[in-house]
Amino acid sequence: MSFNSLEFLIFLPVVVALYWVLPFKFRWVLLLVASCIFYMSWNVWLIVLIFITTITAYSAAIFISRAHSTGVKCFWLALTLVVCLGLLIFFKYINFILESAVGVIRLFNAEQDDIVLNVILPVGISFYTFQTLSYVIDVYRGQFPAERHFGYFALYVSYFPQLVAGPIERPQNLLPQLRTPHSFSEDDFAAGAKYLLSGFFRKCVVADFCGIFVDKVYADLGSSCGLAVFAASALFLIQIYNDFAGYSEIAMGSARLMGVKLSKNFDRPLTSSSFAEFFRRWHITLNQWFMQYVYIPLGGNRKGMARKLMNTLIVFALCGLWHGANWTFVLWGLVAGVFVCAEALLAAPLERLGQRLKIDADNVVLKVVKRVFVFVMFVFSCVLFRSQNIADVGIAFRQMFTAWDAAGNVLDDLGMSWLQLIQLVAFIAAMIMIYRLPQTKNGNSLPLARSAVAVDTAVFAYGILAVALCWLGLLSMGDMSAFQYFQF
Amino acid sequence: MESVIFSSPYILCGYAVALVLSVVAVAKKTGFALTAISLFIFAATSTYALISGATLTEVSVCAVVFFIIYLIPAWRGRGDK
Repeated sequence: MSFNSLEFLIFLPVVVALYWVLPFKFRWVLLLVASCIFYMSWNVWLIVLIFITTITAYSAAIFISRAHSTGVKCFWLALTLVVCLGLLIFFKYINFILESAVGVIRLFNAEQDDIVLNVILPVGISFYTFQTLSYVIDVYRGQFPAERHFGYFALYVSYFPQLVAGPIERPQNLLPQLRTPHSFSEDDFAAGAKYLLSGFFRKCVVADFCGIFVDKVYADLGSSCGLAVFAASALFLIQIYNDFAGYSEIAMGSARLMGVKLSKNFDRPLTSSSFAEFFRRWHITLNQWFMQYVYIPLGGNRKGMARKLMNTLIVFALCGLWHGANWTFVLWGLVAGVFVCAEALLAAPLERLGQRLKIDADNVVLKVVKRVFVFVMFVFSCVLFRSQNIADVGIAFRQMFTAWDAAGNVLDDLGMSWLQLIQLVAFIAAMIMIYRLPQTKNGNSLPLARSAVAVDTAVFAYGILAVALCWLGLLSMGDMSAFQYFQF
Repeated sequence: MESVIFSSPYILCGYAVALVLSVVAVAKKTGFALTAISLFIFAATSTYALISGATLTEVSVCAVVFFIIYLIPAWRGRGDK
């Protein structure tokens, strides 16, 4: 049951209605049952994995909170890491590990057949594993008390709006909210509806539309001109941003309808003027997870520049690997890490150069140039993210830098008509403007909540029409796709 | 592919009238009536366009244009005035 399916359009209103009808003491039961149904709609048996993860983390946290010696606490933490990460590694990375091992054996000219295990990738396993680990680590560090109520803890792990693709919530944010008796609020409902509209628009209108042209070019990289490959990579960056930001907003909207505020996952990353800023704005909860549980324990930036750069590269390589069991993702992570490291190394010399040349750091032109540069560099890195294998990466870059003879046929190579080009421009304009729709201002007040009813009504009417028409259009052409981040 | 919307003066007129009304409604911050009329004209024109053979894609572009117009107050942060 994907968010962009008809089933979810029925499922969500039913759950929300029941949530507000039921007394508070039964709400967690409803949400837990709804979350199980939501997850089992993909594969009934995979719920067993969530159950094993939940019971392990629940028991370990209680034992950690009761333990007096550090050794015992360490044991329970290590056990949780082994079980949770073991499940993740087995189900997500086992074939990648075997494939790489076979590759190494063949390097020494030894004969070895391919070894492939018939393992399915459980939806959202990376997300709920990381969320569960953050809970156990926080209990271990004494930053959060162990949850005694198994029902609430199971709900924290499997809360359906953010179960399969985040945001990855720390216990401090989600668990107390699940335990709080919410009363129906018009503001929450309006904010939730706006998040849902914005999310569906991003996914069904912008992301799926861009995906048509990206798929066309990446299906046959060798026959596309350089500009078409670059344009497809740029469209892929827009696609994946809107796909995942859309998912996050639908998750935030669904939770908000029930009074729960999930963490923000994206903050206009495509307008970043530095690489570090990009990653502070892109998949915020995952990057904060790596910051809290990997980068800082490794020493962060406290042990000199060399160690900081090494830690950054380790974190980005792991972040790349988290995205998928493929060397292209590891390479993408390392490239992103190199961008951030290079920026950290060059920051001081460039600032001195700017002062010597009397260039104002707040200069508008300079800011635009920086933003364009960051965007273009991330477009190049997207080739690694989108390509199926390392060979495709080579073909994409070869085409980008050598196939300029047929640059006039960009639209043909993308499979884009003039009408679709106009459509794309309109969609990107709407994408730029939509970010403020669900945005909160001054803490809790919504900019649009107090605006004229007429504008609000029109926004919803035209927004729903646009989403419905595009969705039906893509459905009729068979171009509607699943959320990209489900595969991670 | 030939555009049905651009080849029919009735459809173009319908969208143009709805567009003008929407722009006035947003710019002058008029009440509900003007927005409702523009919405009604848009819906009627879109239905006619679809019956005339326009694709869902074409009509969705028009809906997005109107959506953008009504997003302007939110984008400019005027909503709380």
